Order: sequence, then C-alpha cells, then structure tokens
Amino acid sequence: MKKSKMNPLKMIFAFLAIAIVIVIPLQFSSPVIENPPVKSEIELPGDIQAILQRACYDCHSNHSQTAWFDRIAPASYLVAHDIKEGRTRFNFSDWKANPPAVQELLLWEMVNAIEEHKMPLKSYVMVHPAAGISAAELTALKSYVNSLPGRHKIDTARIIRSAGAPGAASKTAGTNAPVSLNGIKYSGDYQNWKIISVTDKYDGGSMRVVYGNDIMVKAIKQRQLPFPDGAKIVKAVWGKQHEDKVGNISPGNFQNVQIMIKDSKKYKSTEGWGFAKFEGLRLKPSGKTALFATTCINCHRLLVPESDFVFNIPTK
Amino acid sequence: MLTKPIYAVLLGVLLVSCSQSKHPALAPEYLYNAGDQKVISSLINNKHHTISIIYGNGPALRSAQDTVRTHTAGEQYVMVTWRQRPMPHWYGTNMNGKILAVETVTVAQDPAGKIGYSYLLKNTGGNNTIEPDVSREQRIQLITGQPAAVLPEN
Ligand code: HEC
Ligand code: HEC
Repeated sequence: MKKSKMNPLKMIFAFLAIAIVIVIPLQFSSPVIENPPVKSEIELPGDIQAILQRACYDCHSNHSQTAWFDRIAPASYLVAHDIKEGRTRFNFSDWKANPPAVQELLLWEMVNAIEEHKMPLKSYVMVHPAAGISAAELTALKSYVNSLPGRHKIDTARIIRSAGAPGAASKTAGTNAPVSLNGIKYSGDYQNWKIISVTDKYDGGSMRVVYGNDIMVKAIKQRQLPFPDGAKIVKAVWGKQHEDKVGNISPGNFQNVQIMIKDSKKYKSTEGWGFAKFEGLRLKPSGKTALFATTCINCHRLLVPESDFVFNIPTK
Repeated sequence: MLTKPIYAVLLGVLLVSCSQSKHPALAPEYLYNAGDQKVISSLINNKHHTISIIYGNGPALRSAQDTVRTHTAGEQYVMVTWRQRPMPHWYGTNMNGKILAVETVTVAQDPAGKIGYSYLLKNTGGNNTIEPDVSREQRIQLITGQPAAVLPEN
C-alpha cells in the first residue's frame, strides 16, 4: 500500500488546528499553583538552606516559584501534580508536622535521594538545569546530617529486660499477639530464623539484626530476585551503648521490630510487601491508620527498586 | 537475520548489560549458617571496621539471659565477625560484608568439677583479623560475657 503524503502547508494548518482546538482551551483550565501560608519553616544553616532552596523548594515547600513555561498546559498539569505530590511527602514550610526523629530521618533520606540521582526529579532538572546538585554540595549535605544529634546518640538508660513484672504472663504470645493496623499479627517466630544482615544505622543511633524466614534465605541462596511470595523479613532494633576500651559497641534497650511480608496479591498497593512495625517491649502497633504502610514503601520504593524494595540483602 | 557477527556481539553485550544492571548480584556466601544456635547479641567495632553476632546453644542463651552470669558445662558459643561495608543505596548505614573470623567457645567441666573453656579461632578473612593485641582469655571473656540482647518475650 502506498502511504499518502501530506504537503508541508497542510501540515502547518494541521498543527495550528490542533493548537486552536486543544492547547489553547487547555490554558483556561490550566491548574494554578498556589503557595499556602507557611506554617513552620525548616531552620537550617545558611549554606544548607541555600542548596535545598534552589533544588527542592519548588516542589517541597510553600515557596514554589514556577517559570513561565511551567504555567503553560499541558506542562502545567505535570508541574502541579509534582508540586502537590512533593508537598504531601514532606513540606519544608510545614516542617514541625514531623516529630524530631522523623525530621532527621527525612534529612538523611534527602541526602540519599540526591546521591541516588532520584531527586530533584530528572524531568525538572532537564528544564531547570540550575537546580542540579554538585558533588561538593552533596558532601556539604552529608557533613550536615552527620552533625545532627541522632548521629551520636548513646543509649545510657538502664536496660529494661521485660515488658511486665518478672514472672508475669507474656503479653505477646499466641492469640493475644498485637496486630498492626493493616492486619499483620506479631509473632516471635523470627527468633528461630537465620540472620540475613547486621547493621549500624547512623540516624537515631541504633543497631539492628535482620532475620529472614526459610523462603527468604532460600531465595538469597538461589539468587532469586524478586523475592517469592511467603518470604518474610524481620528487623529488630536496639539503641547503641557506649564504646568499650577495645572499640566494641553492644546493643542497649530494645526499640522496635519491623516486618516485611511478601504477598504480591494481598499487598499489591505496596509493591507486594506487607509492612508492620511494633514499638517497645509492649509491641505497640505503629501508625494512626492503615495508610502508615504507604510511608514505608515510599522510601523503600524511591531507593531500592532494583532489589525488590529490600535494603538488607547480602550483595557483592 | 544477523548477517554480520559484530551485530550479534553488540546485541549480546546489550542484553547482558541490561540484565546485569536490573538486579544486584546476591552474595549468599556472606550468610553464616548457625544451625540450631540462637542469636545472643551483636557487636559493632568501628576501630576494627567489623560487625559481629554471638550465637549460642540453649544453655549458652539461658546463661546470657540471666543477670547473674554463671557458666555451666555444655554451653557453646560462636562469634561470627564480618567486615563492615557501607550499605548500597543508603548512605548512613554500615552492614556486614564478607566473613572474617569464626570463634567458638565451649564450656566443659574437668573430673574435679572445675569449669574450663576451650577456644577455637578460624580466620577466614585471610590475615589475622581478630585484634592481635587481645589475649585468648579476653576473647573468651568477651564472648561468654555478653548479656543477651533484649527481645520481646516469646
Ligand atoms: C519537580 C518537583 C520536585 C523537586 C524539584 C524535588 N522533588 Fe522530591 N519529590 C517530588 C515528588 C513528585 C515526589 C514523590 C514521587 C517520587 O518519589 O518520585 C518526591 C519525593 C521525594 C522524596 C521521598 C519522600 C518519601 O515519601 O519518602 C524525597 C526524600 C525527596 N523527594 C527529596 C527531594 C530533594 C532532596 C529535592 C531537592 C534536591 C527534591 N526532592 C526536589 C518532587 C520533587
Ligand atoms: C526514610 C526511609 C525509610 C522509611 C520511611 C522506612 N524504611 Fe524501612 N528501611 C530503610 C532503610 C535505609 C533500611 C536499611 C537500613 C537498616 O535498617 O539497617 C530499611 C530496612 C527495613 C527492613 C529490613 C529489610 C530491608 O529492606 O532492608 C524492614 C523490615 C523495614 N525497613 C520495614 C519498614 C517499615 C515497616 C516501615 C514503615 C513503618 C519502614 N521500613 C519505613 C528506610 C526506610
């Protein structure tokens, strides 16, 4: 079959027609980006503030400054979407909405988002090249997070060894086991599982042991990624005690357990992983609504999509 | 059809590089199989850039959970030490890399009823990775003396 060719004049008319019929009317419904009033602005050292202001504020604050080309439909729809989504993740102009430990964790996450080239969004840097972050700026951000109080936190409190009085009936076993808001029941089975990782985490001063059930360990041995349904990971978290004379640091008080259970159907909305967190020896389920799991996957999805959203795996 | 071999080679390279970059290479050799032994505690050592787990059998774990430490024959401890490495994709965490050393301590009783400790060091990391300035008695004391890390009651 012979292709019908359009002559150049016809092509120009066609473009103009599209512009008139679609693009121009689009401008009237184009979203307007508003800057709501500032609630509590983040306070940072001047040089750090300047970096984040230049590279991140357009989407993560109430000081968005869009360029003229950001305001033209259909680009304006994307820009508005990114700003809306960016502000819901964290907002420098509503910073105190986050408890202090979360503020620190977010700053560490920002450093990682930049280091992994996830932020600022690539589409944004393409049209706003000045928003790119240099290696020297990333180094400055790293030294800043390393100066935060949580980085050098030492657990000096007396170690509490039991949730109740000695000899009191266990509050955590069997049918009375606590259940997370998304329906995951705590079980102490992991204490019989294999260890897949041991870590020293800088923000908040904690050390962790990560356990994997048989399905998880087998998958690692067979180098199987993504991990199969039925794989379970449990991370136990403790404070860090003072370093001894030869440099050893041992676990202080128990802080929490965090769980990831793979069931690609049941937990489809969180990339196939069911998340749960239980705090303290009384194992209080974390979060206010079942949506807490979204905050979990948001960070795991941003940084470790290639390893099935799991950080703690042995890799070369 | 690929008429020129160079295209086949290029295609091959492309396929390999794509499949390689998608998933990280898992390193199961970094896992330690402790059999039936349970975790007693973990240790971080930033002077030596190591991270360790102390495992124990039932009697060892019970001794470690007791605030008055007494040792009885039959306790067995294994301390596994890994090289620390930065966690990939998260600046701000160190994790275990390759296994450097496995130390085993067994508690036994001689015919006179005296408690004794045997100590075995297996360096798997090449050179001597356990502090050369530390005596074997000090290692035994460290390994058998760590209180169990607290976990919720089971
Ligand atoms: C063009 C808008 C835009 C800019 C500029 C931008 N972000 Fe984002 N950011 C987003 C959006 C949209 C999301 C959520 C979707 C995603 O993860 O891709 C997000 C998510 C994040 C998250 C994940 C938060 C979570 O939910 O766990 C972090 C961290 C982050 N951004 C840091 C930064 C940093 C640091 C900068 C500046 C260096 C920056 N962003 C610049 C739009 C932006
Ligand atoms: C700001 C980023 C972030 C958020 C939010 C987050 N995690 Fe993680 N998570 C990490 C990092 C980094 C690690 C690995 C470091 C470590 O814990 O030692 C990790 C590790 C884990 C692990 C061990 C398996 C793995 O992926 O390495 C579990 C289980 C886990 N997180 C559960 C949760 C749960 C449950 C939540 C929500 C209540 C949550 N996480 C929220 C960053 C995050």
